[in-house]
Amino acid sequence: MSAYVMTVSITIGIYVILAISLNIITGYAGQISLGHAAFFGIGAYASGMLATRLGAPFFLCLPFAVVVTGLVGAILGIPCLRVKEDFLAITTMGINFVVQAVFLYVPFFGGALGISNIPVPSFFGIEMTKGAYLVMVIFFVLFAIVMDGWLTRSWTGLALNAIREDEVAAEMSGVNLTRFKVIAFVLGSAMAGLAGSLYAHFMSFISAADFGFPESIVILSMVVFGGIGTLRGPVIGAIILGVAPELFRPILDYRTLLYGVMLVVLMRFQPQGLLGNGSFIIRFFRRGWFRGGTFDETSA
Amino acid sequence: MKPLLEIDAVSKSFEGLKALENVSFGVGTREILGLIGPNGAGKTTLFNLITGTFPQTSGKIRYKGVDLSGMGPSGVAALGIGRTFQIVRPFKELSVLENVLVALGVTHYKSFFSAASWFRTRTSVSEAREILSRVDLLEVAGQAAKTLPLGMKKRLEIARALALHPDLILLDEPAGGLRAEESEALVDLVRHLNAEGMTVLVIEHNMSVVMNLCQRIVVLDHGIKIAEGSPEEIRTNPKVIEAYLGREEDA
Repeated sequence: MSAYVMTVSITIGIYVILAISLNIITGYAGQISLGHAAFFGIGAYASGMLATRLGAPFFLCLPFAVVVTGLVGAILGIPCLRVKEDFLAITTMGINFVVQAVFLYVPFFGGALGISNIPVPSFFGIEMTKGAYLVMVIFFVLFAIVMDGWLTRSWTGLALNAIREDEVAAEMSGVNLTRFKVIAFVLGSAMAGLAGSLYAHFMSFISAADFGFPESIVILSMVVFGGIGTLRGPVIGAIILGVAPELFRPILDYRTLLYGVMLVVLMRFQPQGLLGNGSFIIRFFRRGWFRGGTFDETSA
Repeated sequence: MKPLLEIDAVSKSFEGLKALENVSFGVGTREILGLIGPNGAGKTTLFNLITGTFPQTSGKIRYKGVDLSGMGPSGVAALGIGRTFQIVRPFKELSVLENVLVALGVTHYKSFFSAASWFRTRTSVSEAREILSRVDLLEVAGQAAKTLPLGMKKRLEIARALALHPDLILLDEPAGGLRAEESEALVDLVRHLNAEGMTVLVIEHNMSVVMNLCQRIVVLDHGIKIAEGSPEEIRTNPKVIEAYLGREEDA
């Protein structure tokens, strides 16, 4: 495998984790977020700064990034509890701009120079190769998938789905809105923090520009394109939209524009995304090969 | 004997508009109490106060002697007060079975570890199916709730309320929008639940349903309780007739 393919694969792996994490907040709990890159950035900065300023090893930086981002997710999630839909979209977008501005203008965070020389993880003095890093990223992708699978099968996951479907009815069924929305924000942001840590130690240089609003739109596009509210959707969406710019280099400059157009078109004609429940592809397969293969609850 | 639910001098105003004024009554254990009144009388507002959607301006609401103020809707639900809605609110994309499971989870949502355990267990599914069979929805358990006709959605809401293991259920116009035979089936269901020990507080506009079903009736008009008594007493009460038909000089 060439170094180039490995680099692209690692980037896509990080995007898969990001898409899965945003899907917890927006897909399962139904809380639209246009600021997910902020949490990606918080994870990257937490991990990068701990490594460069205090010389902490990677295996400490990564959990530190997860915990810090989860905590910040809880704190920033609180103002989001008071707003819904359009207003939530604007609030989360605002959070993204504020977080990015803090990285850019507060000297503590390195200002415009960002954080550089973030060390490649090493074990017993031996630096991780790119191949080893890819293996590690794949491990964390699988970890995210397992966590997601667990979540969707848990009472918490069911409560989040109920909130997405109808907040009033969910409350009257015993679901505490505040508690479960905060849980969704914490889980989603902590996982984005994990992706941020992986990104920081892979790139070795990070700056505020990497975690702006356009990045949030890229992550949201992946989730919506693949099929929001499912696990397969964000995974496949992140892979396709992660590979596409590599295959079509000339469009790279127009990436955000194309993603924007794609979001609008999808919302109009196929809001379930490519692989969401009820999308044309899934309907085709359910009708064809897998007829009768779906889980039948009456026989459970 | 102390009533199961006590509404004690409850008032509610929305920025000067008095929705409820000094309303008091009790709902006795195993009773079916009807709450009637013209549109805008404050019936649904009272339901929202009981379930903790918003706080009352003054007065107390007690369930089994416990003051409900400050508990919030999920806290009230956890105490075992179930509710249905005037305009049905099923979890549309979830299956009928999952709709019931959401409310069965009420015992799991409080502790983090319990909430992290899997919801589709043998016990939970069989209990949800048992509840669905009580409201005669078992054969559609696997369907998405959005695909059900209105009558079934109303019964699904009752099933969801039953999953809270309630001693009291609040039904907001259960027969509204239903055909005659559907509403009859619903009356039978409510009567059946009552016979099993359930206390029912029901808002209903369909007078034949109210007179048929309720053992006692409270009448609200413009936020004030104007009458309370047996169906027979209410039917002949001049104040009630006036509230519904208007006074002679208004006509």
